[in-house]
Amino acid sequence: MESKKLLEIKDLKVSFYTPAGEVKAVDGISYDLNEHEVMGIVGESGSGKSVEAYSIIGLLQDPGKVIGGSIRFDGEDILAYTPDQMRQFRGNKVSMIFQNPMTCLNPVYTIGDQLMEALTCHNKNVSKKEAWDRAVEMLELVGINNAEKRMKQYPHEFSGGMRQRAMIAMALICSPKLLIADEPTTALDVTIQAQILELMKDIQKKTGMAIVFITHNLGVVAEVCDRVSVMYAGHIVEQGSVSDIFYRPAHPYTKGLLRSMPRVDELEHERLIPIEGTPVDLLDPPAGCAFGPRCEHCMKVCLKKPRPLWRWETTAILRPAGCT
Amino acid sequence: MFGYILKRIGVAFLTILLIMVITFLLMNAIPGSPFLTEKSTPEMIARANAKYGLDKPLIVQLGNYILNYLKGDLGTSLKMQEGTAVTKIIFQEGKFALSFRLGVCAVIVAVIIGIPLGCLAAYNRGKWIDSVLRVITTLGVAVPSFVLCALLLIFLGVKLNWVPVISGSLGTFKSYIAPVLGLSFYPMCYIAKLTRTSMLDAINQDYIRTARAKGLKTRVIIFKHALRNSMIPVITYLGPMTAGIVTGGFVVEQTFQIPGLGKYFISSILNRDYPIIMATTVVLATLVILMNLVVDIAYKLVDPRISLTKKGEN
Amino acid sequence: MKGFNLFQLNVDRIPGYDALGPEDFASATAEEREAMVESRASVSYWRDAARRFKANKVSMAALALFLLIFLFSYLGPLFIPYNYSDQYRGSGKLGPGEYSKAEQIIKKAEGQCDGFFATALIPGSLTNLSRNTTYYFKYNGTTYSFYNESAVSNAVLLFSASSSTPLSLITESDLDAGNMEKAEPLQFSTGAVDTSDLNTQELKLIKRVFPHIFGTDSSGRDLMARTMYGGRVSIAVGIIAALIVLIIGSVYGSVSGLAGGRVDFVMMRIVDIIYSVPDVLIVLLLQVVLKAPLQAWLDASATDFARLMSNLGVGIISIFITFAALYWVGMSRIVRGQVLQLKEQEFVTAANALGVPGRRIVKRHLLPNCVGQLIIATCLQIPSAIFLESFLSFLGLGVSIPMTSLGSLCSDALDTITLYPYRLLFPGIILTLLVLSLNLVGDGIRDALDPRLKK
Repeated sequence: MESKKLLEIKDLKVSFYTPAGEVKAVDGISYDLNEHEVMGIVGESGSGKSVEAYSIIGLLQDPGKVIGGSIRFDGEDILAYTPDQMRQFRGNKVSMIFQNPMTCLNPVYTIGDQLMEALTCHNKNVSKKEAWDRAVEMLELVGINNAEKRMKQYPHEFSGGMRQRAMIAMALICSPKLLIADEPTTALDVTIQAQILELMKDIQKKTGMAIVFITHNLGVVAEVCDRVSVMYAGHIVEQGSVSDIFYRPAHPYTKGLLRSMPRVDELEHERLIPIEGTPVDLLDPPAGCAFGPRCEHCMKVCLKKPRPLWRWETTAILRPAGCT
Repeated sequence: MFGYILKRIGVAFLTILLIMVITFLLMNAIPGSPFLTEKSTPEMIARANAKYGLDKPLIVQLGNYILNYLKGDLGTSLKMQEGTAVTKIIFQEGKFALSFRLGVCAVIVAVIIGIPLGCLAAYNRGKWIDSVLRVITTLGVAVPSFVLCALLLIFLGVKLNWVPVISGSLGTFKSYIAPVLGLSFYPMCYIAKLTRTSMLDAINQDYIRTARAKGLKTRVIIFKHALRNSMIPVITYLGPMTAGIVTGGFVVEQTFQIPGLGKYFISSILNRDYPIIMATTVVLATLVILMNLVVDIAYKLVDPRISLTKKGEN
Repeated sequence: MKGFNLFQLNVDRIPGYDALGPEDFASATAEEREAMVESRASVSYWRDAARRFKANKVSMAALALFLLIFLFSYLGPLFIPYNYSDQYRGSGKLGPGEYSKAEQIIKKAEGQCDGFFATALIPGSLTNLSRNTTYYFKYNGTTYSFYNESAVSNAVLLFSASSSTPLSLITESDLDAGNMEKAEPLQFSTGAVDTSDLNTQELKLIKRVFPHIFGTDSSGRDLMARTMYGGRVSIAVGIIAALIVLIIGSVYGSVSGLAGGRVDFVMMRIVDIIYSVPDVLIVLLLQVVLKAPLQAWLDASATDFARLMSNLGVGIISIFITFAALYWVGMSRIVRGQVLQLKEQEFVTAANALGVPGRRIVKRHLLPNCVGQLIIATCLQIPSAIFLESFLSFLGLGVSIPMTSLGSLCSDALDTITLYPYRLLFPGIILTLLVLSLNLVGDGIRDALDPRLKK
């Protein structure tokens, strides 16, 4: 089945220019995302997964800058967009939801106001009534009862899970083709997490939008994603389908991640094995493989040369060379 | 909400009573009688004390004063305009109205110019206009009001001859310019600085990132989402600002020779005219307390999270 | 073919890999791996803040400006021959940079008398010192006399370069006419001459000729000297008052915020009441009320503390008392607000849950997080203290004459503002620059301490 490519990222490089020096938060990552596809991006804190997402939606703040590579969305180079085009693009074609729903809604405006605003800022000729109806419809879609009443409430009157639902409703109100979810469940209770994931899967099926799902939780990835990219220190170290990553992980880091994840399906009580050491300092990355110092299979060559991803020609799977 | 306001008014009333007591006691702690001059004999002083009830025990004097105050009688002047009712001096002779007019103009100017300037600076953060505004506002909060007033007097009044040197009873529009400018400059600059700071603070919040992710225009993000949140610290300042403008009024009225309440108040202190000092204090205190009440309610209007019915808040 | 390609590496993308030998594929030792992670020296929070502050050009310039005013105020008086309280008759109402009449005479005399050190009598010193045509005056404990037929008011004393004994005297008129040879030789008056009916005050000499850079006031006091001393007073009052406010306000505010509930309510009503009091009136009353008991205490007490206090003067002490009594409320509100806000935050809840005692939570979590706010508030408190002090001086309270502050200098000048604007401008500009520099330094410290603003 040949799907249309929605998002093509090639050799994207993002750096932060801090007083202490250049931090290469994202150092040359590439991937494609097809329409209707759910891509998970996994990595630990500081691996550059959020920064990469922010550069897609044009939310990179000073001192962060895209310094190389390209991002194409629906064939258009979005890095060449003017600020105003970028603004039109945000929220309309691509939306984003964030980690902490507690602080992501403006406390001084009603939920309804904030929902309608997301619609009206992209469609000038939507009447107030239409916007209201659409917002109510969206709230119902994300499973908020009593939507009419809820529209008039303020964020502090909502629970965490409800706010995240409202955020999703807000993100989807313009029917975007791509949703970027930046750790949308991390700050929530486990039961709420499951509800939100269920909701997202459900909505994804209904609307057919593509999702870039950023998380550090492999369980969440297994739940919702079609494909997975594993990021470490600004690089994608491994990429593949969910089953590839879970059953045939190639990179020691991926293996380490899997080993450190509790599994409910294992009958035998297996010990969790943490990954030793701490992530590299991105201000001064090592010359060789970024994971080298923490890798149990590390070879001398690994410390000298960065490890390229080798393309296996018949599949779209990217695997690191030599680490298997 | 309504009950809360009533309660606040009750507390405010108690505060005023307390201020009256404190003022009264402090006034009486000052050594020396108001009638003590070089010429006065002990008999003359005793007679004067008896006439104005100053020979009675302190507690009786205090009680009398408070009762009279409740009746709307603020006493009679002892020295400056002997025998004239204080209410008449303060309210009918236009002293209060004059100072009030000046103060209200200054508040309006400070808020109406200060907030947009702060937004402008935050909006253009790091650009030349921000730097210019930063220099002006930083200077503005560093210049003492009497220096500023003196400068206005020298340049606008003497050198350029644009405004009258003596503003008097503020008969003409021109006579307002220098005093209002002198009175409102500090709060204006302070508000502008406050707005800029809290605006930039608000801009770093997560909900602004959400608003950006929605694709809102920068203008909408700043003026709708950031401004309302950043108004909270500005509103907090409005209470002290009123007090500051009352205080500043003393200097401005002194410099531009405006016969308002401030100028009169200072002379009453220097003359130790007890009833005038106390009445003026109570009037000004009432004003400031009312302003604080208004600020509390304004809070509710801006920030829905603050619940006025909640105990122990604010 | 396809099967083979499956294992065919895309070699183009990995230059340099051909040159590798088998030894490169040996396992790396733990040491080699360790060496890869060059640990960067972790910079402490305060050192990092200091670095940020130093990088901030505006605040460094402001700090330099503040130090300049500080040095001007505290060391300046060592370099000028004038004192804040000395009144020089005939030196009144001089413009900036001008010399008094006497000083002009000395300047002139110095040009004409080689080998002699000349100094002028303070103008007016000679008045009423004459008996007929013999003039007597006392200098350095010795009575001198000289003859002159006409009335002498201003004159120059001539000293030999090495001695402190005056040798001769030349009157102003002779000096003006250039008749240097008419200098009257001075004689020591013997004890036989009865000078008791004469005003035998010590003569005051002008020690050194120095222009009155800021001019003089109507009483002939040098305004630059007064500005320096005024600066000392203003800086000291500002800093000490701000510290008083900081200590009282943060203790009160954090107690109120942490206690919460009824205690908080009562404490905040007290704050409200103090807040609602028109401060200036209470300050005025306190100033008036405190003066007599304070003076009595200072006179009675012989402790070092009391002596130090009496050097400051009653006016300044009552300003401090006023600040301790009234002005901490703003600070306490700020601290309470911060505490309430922080109390809700996770790390405090976490500390609470771990059973950290309340005092420790305040010290380890709340205060460090309030530091930025406290610094901003304190830095705003210093100018506010300086303002209040100058305001009181403006009303005739605060520091009392002949002691001075920048504020009282400005108010002294207010009466003659249209005639002598510079009298207000000099202290006014220094006052403004002082406040400005303190504000900017405060801003710089805030930016440096607040990592959220880190660029």
